[in-house]
Amino acid sequence: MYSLHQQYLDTASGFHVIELHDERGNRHLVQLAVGHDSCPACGAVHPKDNLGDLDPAAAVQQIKEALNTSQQQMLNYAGKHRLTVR
Amino acid sequence: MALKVNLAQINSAAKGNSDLRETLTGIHLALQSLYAQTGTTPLSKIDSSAAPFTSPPAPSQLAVTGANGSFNIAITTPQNASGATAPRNATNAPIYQELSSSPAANFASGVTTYPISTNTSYVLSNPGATLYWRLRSSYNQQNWTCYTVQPGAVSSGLMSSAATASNLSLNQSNYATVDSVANGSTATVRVYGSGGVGTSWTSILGNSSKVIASGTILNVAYATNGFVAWDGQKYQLKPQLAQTFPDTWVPVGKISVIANASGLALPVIHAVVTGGAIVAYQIINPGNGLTAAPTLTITDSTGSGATATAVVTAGAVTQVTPGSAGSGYSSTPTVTASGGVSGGVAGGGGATGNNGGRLYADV
Repeated sequence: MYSLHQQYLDTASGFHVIELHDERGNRHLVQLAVGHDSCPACGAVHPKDNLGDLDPAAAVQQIKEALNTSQQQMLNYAGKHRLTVR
Repeated sequence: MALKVNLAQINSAAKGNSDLRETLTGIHLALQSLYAQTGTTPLSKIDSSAAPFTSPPAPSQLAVTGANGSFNIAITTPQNASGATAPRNATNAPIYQELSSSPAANFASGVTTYPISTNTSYVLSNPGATLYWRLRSSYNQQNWTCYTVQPGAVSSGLMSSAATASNLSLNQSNYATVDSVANGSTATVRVYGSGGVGTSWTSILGNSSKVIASGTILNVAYATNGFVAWDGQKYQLKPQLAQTFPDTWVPVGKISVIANASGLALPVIHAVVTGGAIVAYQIINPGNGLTAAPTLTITDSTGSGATATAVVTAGAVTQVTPGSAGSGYSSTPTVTASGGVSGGVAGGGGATGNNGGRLYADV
């Protein structure tokens, strides 16, 4: 099952980086864009104005549950058909 | 009759070709012997003052420039040199050139010596390299001039993708998919592999490959464009692709983040069944706000195998094209539309790479 491995704020890229690992070494990165948005026309950047509304814990929990649900289904499938899990 | 040939003339005729010189000399000596036996006036003696072609030639000139990922080498032989002292190889004897390079100014390490040749120009592809260059010359590949050194280091520069050959072995590709989905007030960009959302993907560079983690990038503004790259630790989402990537970066894909999907209404479609097969589709509601063709999934309690494709015009479904009719369907199969919003471009689009990650934007 996926669990939190590390998280940090990368000011250079403007991401809150949350790295999830499972027990087999699989990784999934959740990255919250907290730095800026860019104008689709000219590429100019604009500061984010919704940081107060962000709930990173809830976002991560939602993604983690989706990943774990998918993984559990795969493991159930492997068990049902007696497959080796790598 | 007297023999009018001397060894200097043989040397000149041989133009530095030692085999030819030996052959002509042998003939010359045989004729001398013949003349001695027949009483004909021989040559007084072999001319030992001719140039032996064992001494090195005058130094050649070396000029190295770098552009577009390649070093351009130009060698000027003595006979082609301009100035009061030229020509210094009036017989145009072949001059062998030995070219070498090194990242060190004193050539103390990392020396690469290129094959000896009489060529006077080379184009050597070596993108992103900065090297010192030197040259030495010889008539017989045994006795060499001192090195002629190109002043200062020369940089080859970066190779543009336009300059790379098709299917270049160092071209980089990946098996990532990058798309975007609506997620409330912002969009979510997803990076995943062939196994679907949440699965890792493989990047291939030349003959090596590596598996890179999947990713979910949250809180991205709707209707923006950008490029996703893997920087070795995490994903980067850049509004524009820089001309060059750092060596450790891997291009992932170009993304056109979806517009706000709040006005999206998926179409309602019914199937027309005849003899257990779906022969047509009826558009009950064409939907609204569609920016891409929705995926149509057909389910039924008994039937299977039917496929269909929706055609979208001006945000609504205007046509459903039947694919396989399937079989065994009841009278009321269910047609479910999903998607309907454009989700960016699949991984690898918009960026090609070469030379160990040194990239040049195609977009």
